[in-house]
Amino acid sequence: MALYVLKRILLTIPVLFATALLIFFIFQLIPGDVVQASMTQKLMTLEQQNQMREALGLNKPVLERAATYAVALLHGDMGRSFRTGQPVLDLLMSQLPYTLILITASLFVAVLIGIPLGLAAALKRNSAVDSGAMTLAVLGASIPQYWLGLVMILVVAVNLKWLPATGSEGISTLILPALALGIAEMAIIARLTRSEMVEVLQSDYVRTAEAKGLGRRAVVMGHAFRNSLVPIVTMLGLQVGALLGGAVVIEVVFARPGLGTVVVQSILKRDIPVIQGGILLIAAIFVIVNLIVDISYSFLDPRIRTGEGS
Amino acid sequence: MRRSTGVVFAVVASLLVVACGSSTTSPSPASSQGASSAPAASQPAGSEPAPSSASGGGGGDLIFGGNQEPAGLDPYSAITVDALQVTGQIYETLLNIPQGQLTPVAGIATSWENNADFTSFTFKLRDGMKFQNGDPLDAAAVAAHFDRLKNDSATPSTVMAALKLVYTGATVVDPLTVTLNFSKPQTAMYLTLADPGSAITDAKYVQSVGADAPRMPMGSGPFKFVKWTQGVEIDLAKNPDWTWGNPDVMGTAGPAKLDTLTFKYLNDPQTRTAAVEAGDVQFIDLVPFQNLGSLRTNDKLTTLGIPLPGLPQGNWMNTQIAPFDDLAVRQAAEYAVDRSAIISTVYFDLVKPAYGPLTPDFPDYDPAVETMYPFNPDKAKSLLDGAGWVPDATTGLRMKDGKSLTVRILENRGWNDWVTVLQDQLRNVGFDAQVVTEEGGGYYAAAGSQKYEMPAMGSIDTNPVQVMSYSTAANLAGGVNGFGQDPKIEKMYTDALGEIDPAKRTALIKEWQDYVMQQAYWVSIFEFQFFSAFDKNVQGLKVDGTGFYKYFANVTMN
Repeated sequence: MALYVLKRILLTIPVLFATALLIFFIFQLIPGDVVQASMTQKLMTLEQQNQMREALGLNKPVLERAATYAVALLHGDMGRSFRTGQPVLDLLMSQLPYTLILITASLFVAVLIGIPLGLAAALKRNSAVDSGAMTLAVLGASIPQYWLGLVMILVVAVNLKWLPATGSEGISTLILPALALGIAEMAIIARLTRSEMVEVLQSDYVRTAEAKGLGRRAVVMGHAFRNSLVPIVTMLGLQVGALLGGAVVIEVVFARPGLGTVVVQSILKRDIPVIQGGILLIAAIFVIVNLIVDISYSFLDPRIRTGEGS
Repeated sequence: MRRSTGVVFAVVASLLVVACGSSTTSPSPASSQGASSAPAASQPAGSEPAPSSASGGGGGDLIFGGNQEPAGLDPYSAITVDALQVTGQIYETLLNIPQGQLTPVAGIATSWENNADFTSFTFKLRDGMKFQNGDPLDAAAVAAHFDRLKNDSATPSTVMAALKLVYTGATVVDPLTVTLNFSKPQTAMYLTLADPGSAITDAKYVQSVGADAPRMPMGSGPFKFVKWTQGVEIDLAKNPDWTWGNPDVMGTAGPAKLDTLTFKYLNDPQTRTAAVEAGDVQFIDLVPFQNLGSLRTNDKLTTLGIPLPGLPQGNWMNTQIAPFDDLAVRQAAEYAVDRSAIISTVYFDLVKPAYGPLTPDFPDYDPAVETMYPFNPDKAKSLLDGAGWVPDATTGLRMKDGKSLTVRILENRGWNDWVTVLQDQLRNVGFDAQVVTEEGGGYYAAAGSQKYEMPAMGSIDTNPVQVMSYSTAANLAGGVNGFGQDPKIEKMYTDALGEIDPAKRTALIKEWQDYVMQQAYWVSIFEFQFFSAFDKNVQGLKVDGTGFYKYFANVTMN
């Protein structure tokens, strides 16, 4: 197992390195640079623009800058932000906790609402409970997070004044963003749980368990649900990627600090070192979470641990 | 089962390894204590009366909802208006421009004079000023600040970068008198020194904190820096020692009345609006026009909009490519524009129309441009007929030699909301007008390519000669000049730049405005305003002469 984990981690390094260089070159193709992006309603003459480019080293050839960046990256140096001059790693690490808090809270929303909803729908198949739960799931999956966030702000914060619209201090500022981000994932988990449970509940071993006289609760939770968990956990791992993407939008809507806000600002301002670092960090989080998911299989399904499974 | 379910939650909980720390910087030097001093007596020519006696009190805390978190707070290198909004509370400038005028008044200098050729400027400073760490703010400190232009490796702000090219040194005449020297005439020097970007820093302190200077600001102004939690907020607190403010500018001589002033950044305009409505913040800037309606009817909020000086909001007409290489076609576009329709449709009649390449706030403004191109679609059609552009029988869009009368209006997303109405108005007279949208850096790159017929533009500037520079050939590639080049304009700009006689300079600036409009290089639409919205309890706000920067020293929370 340890060798497997180490191999997986080592394999990600060249992937992340190539990703960083790819991002570098993609941003060379996009018109505009950090100097031009700094002009909003206060224009700069070309002379002033060029002075700033020279100070930032942007007037050097692209390949030279790419080589410098690649060498620095191999030494673990992500460079400095064009805008703030701060080391990129320091900047990103200061924002990472906020994003992890938001994603974790959203996962709790997805799991704590999605799984019971899916279970209820499966156990009461073709009933009003099933229809209601799946209608909720379809709605949750269909509503854009950006719109949902704004509506929540308008209704809950502005009109009812129950919770703050923005901020990052305390649990009260986390509720609305976590719901806005987690509801779509909740919908996916609910639908997956329902379909897996429906299939498992029709299995021979479930019938056998029932024939043996086990109680309904023991059959459902001890046999059926446990065997449905592998695809659900896989989906949870994949959804972390979606949540990271969604956090970019939700952080901006709720004016929360975090990786998403930093990356969006950096894209708008063409702050390439921060964009590269931010995407690398997000990719690394995604890889690590999926590694954790892979490892968790062996606990959920002993056949995987012993090599009996595929 | 319990174990398996536990594993699921363990997977989720494994992500809950969350560090609670955040990136926070706060100043290391101890703040100063103690005495204030009486302001200096007024001086002849170019001077202001001494401020009235200090009056503090009021108290309270205010949270300001800004647009974008600044990159740094050292005014020497800060380039964004969001950054200068914060530094304007911490630092002070030699001169100020009060609300409603573009004539400098006293700042930390009480009087000022220049030599005949505008290369040497002498300032008499108020007595008894000091920085927030206790260092004296005197002639030596001002000289040391400007010497950063020679010694500091940081990228200077736009204002300081311009001075860096011509600064030759400073002379300390006596502890309260300093002379700044330049290699070329600086006719707009007093306006330059009133810009928040030229605020006086403590060079000794900057050197001591090194690369941290942008994140650990320390000035002499009404508020002092407390801490900056990156991505969250910037916290300022009252500087009790500040008692030398100019009440005409700040509303008070000091100390500031608020106890604390916090800046939070809410990049999404809808979120910013919701935050002030929900009471999360008490003040927001850059209110989107579409949200002004609801904010103005909110009885708990006040809205404020002040026209900003500079290049008005409008469109260049690119003479380097067809069809705007023809004067008649450009003039037709001028006559096709109905400013009042744009202003009522897009801006709810909250802004004023503009007619030339300079806003009317300047003494150098030429009102003659206002009557040059009244809305007259018939005249526009007749000009296009005369230029050989014939309307298509079915679409009404005009053609000539098999080519359509296509113009692409280049829009900078979020800043040029008028372009769709302009497109409609141009189509009404036969232009095949299209809108191309770019954003931020991409926008200026597109404008700089000079491939678009009508780039939208606008700028906040207090120096009319700087606005003239936007029409020079040197700025074509920078995406600022969108019409092309004209030797007559180059000469007007060079002459105005070197002209030290104010009357002659004004005449040149007026001539430039007339010429730009006669040649129809520019379609002016409206005078830009940034709107703010704030809690009705916020009282005593002052705004500087640009109309953009707000001063909170006099603000109280009732």
